[in-house]
Formats: sequence, C-alpha cells, structure tokens
Amino acid sequence: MDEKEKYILLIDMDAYFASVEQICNPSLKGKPVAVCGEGRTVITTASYEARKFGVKTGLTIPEAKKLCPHLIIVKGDLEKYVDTSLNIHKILLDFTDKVEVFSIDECFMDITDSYKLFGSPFDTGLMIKKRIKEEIGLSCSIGIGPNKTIAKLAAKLFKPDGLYEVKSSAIEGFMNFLPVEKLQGVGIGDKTAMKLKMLGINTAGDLSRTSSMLLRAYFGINGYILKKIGQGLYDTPVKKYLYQDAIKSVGHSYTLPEDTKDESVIKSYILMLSEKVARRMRKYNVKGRTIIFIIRYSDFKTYMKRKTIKYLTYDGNEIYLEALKIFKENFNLKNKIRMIGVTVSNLIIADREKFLFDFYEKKNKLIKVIDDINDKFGEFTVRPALLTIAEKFGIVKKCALIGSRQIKKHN
Amino acid sequence: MSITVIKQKIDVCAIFKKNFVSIKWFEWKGQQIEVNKITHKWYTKDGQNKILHLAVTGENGYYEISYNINTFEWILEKTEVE
Repeated sequence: MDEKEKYILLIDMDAYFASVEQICNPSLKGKPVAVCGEGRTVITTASYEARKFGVKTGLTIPEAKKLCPHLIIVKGDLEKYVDTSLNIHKILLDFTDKVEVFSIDECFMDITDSYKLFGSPFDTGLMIKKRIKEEIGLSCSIGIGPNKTIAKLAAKLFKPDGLYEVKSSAIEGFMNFLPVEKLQGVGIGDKTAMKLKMLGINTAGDLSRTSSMLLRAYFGINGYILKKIGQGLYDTPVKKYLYQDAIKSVGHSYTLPEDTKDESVIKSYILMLSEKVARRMRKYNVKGRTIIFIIRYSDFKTYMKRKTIKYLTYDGNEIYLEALKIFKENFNLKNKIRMIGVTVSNLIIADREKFLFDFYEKKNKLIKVIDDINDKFGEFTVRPALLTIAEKFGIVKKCALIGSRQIKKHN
Repeated sequence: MSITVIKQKIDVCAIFKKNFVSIKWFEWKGQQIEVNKITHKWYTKDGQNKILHLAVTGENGYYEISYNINTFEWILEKTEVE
C-alpha cells in the first residue's frame, strides 16, 4: 500500500428513503415503492423496483403512476430518515472521526490514517457495508479514491450495493472515456455539461486535455476547477464530523396541499414559513438583511425575488412583512400558486443588543418567552392567529428543507 | 392496502431491558394483537418530550407505535392491515 496515497470513501445509501420504508414494512420489499412528501408534491425517492419502470426523483405522482400503475406511494417521514442517518453516522465514526455529512444519504470519509486497523481500504469498505447491513438493514454503495471527486464517481458507477476502488495510478484510465454527463454531482451541472458538449468536449478525458485558457474564457475562474475535475484531481479535504460550516442562509419552502389563488391562504403560509425561518435563525444566533421570496405557479414556472432591508432581523413577523411586500410588488394571483419559499441571507452573528427604546427590548423578551414555550411543548404551540388559515387549508408539522447541520448529532 | 393514520392511545405489553425495548402484544379495538417482529426504531422530539417510534409487524399487518419516554404513553400511530 502506498504510504502517500490518500483513501477517501463516499458512502451512498441505495434509494435511501424507499429502502428505509421497505425495512420498516416488509410487505413493501421487492415491490415498486415511491416516497413522496405530504399531500401531492413530487417523488423524492423511488425503490430500484420502481426505477425499472422509469420512476425517478422529481416526477409528480400522476406521471409516476402512468409509468408504473401498480406503484406504491408512501408518505415520507423525514424525522425517521434523519434519525436512521444518525445511526449510520455512529457506525461510520467507529472507523474515523473524519466523516463529512454531504447529504441525508451520503457521507465522505477519510480513512488514510485509520484503514490499517481494519486491513486495506477495500476491507474497510467491506466492513462498513456489512455493519450497515447487519445493524440497520440497509445496503449502500461505496466508492474509494484518492479524493472526493473520484470516490463519488466510483460510488455512483456501481449501484446498488457496489464497492469500487480507483487508485491514483488508475485515474487517467478511469476518467478518459467517462461522459461529461456522468460528472454531475461532482461540480458539473446540467447546463455546464451542455455547454461543454457544444464546445466538443464530450468526455472527462477531453476536458482534461482542453487548455485552461479556453476553459477560463468560457467559464471564468471555474475553468480551472473544471479542468481539475476532468483530470480527476479536484480535491477538498474531508471535514471532521463535529466541524460546522458557517451558515450562509436559512430558508424553508412548502408545496401547498392544493394550488390556490386565495390571498389569505398565501399570506398565512408566508407567515408560517417566515416564523420557521426566524426560529431557526434564533437557534443559530444569526440575524439577516436579505429576504428572498420564491414562488412557483401551477404551470411549474418558478420565480425568485430578493430584497435587502436596512436593518438586521430574526423576527418572524418582520421577515413576513418584507416577504409579503416582495410578493405584492412583484407577483399576482392570475394563476394559481403551487409552492412558496422564504429564505434569509446576508447573515451575521446576532450580538446581545441593548435597545434605546423599551418597545424593542419588550419585543425581544416576548420572542424569547415564545421560543421557550415552543422548545418545551413543541413547535408552534404558541403561534400567530393568522396561521389558523393555513392549518385549515392543510398543513404539516415539518417543511420540506433540511440542512446538513440538522442531520448531524450534536454534543 | 394503504397506510391509515390512527393516533390512538393503546395498552401495550412490553419488556424493557438496558437499552432495549421489546413489545409482546398490544390492545386495539378490543383485540390483543401479537407482535411478531420490531423491524425498525427511531427517535423524535416533540418539545422536551423524547419519543421512541417502533415499526412492527403483527397479526395481519404492519403497525407504527410510539412511546413517549416522558409521559409513558403508548400510541398506535399508523397501520396497514390486510
């Protein structure tokens, strides 16, 4: 084994949400299953049995049913999946503390310093797979490489239940004929892949041989990164499990139970999202100045507008009033609305401010008391009266988005 | 067959060991339902309450049962009965 070689693993759970549902309810095993959100949203994960029929993430339920009429739709349970992820993390942390949570079903690991305790890097991968299978009941695919890019590509190529290692010496051969579309998820999106193809760059090998000058001319500073990706050499270190990235934005979005033009319902949902965003901001102790409002109409046309305000806030009502202003100034209700989202960015750490006027001091004290009550008795135990409209229209406890910060176990 | 949300308090015969809980049977609709296997478990929080969720297979179907660790309350959350 080369002493200087780095060994990075990507653990990628196979059809994660659907597989968790299949281990919970054995009658779903071997059947086409699709997990979706509350109400009518879209497919978030399809089991491998469903994928055979072309059912995939992002399809609406009617589209999926058309492809596979006997498809079983299961309503997702995010808390179940998050807690199961935490149990998977516990297993991974027995092998190294360098475990970086990439998403709810993917983790990078750097086992360079620890693999010898378990044999070879490949043996370590086998042991991880065995433990996850035995202790959780789920299968995963593992890619091993000298960096994150190669580890991720190796894991994606051999799914489900795969284990594949690419050594440094084999990178060139591995990348040479890999189509650029396969580089999605390692820094090259749909649009970039299309642009590359228009330039006659069809494979990772082509990309690695293209001059940096040309790539820079077309893609700016990212041109250098693209070349490194094409060479299979793009690398960033695997962060330790307890390391926290700085928070850049906090946001929530919600697909309504049914499309609507009713302004009172829209307002109620904007308030609900604003309150959720504000509560998370207070939890992270950050305030923000830029309010981003996202809207999707029933024809799936999606728009986003942002506004930077003069003051910093983590007050749900203030965020709501600004988001509502954006909505009223930029959008109309000629078409029905399907989804709305509220995000706050431009964040700074909230200091303990002393206010000149009693009003602000009182407001902060009130927010603190409401937070304490909701911490003790559950989210939205105390809530604005306007939310009852959203509740009547159909609301669920959890919104769609969840950041990796919430997928990690904190001490 | 589809999952039905129940959310009813139930009586449960359970065995608690160190970090382990096993359900023998529970009563629902006046019937005692034997539990064959706990297929999965997970935890959630509701305010300060910690809730243990158990996915179980029993006579004729699949059940999700929750146990509030603070109030000792058992709830039949969902079921899929043949």
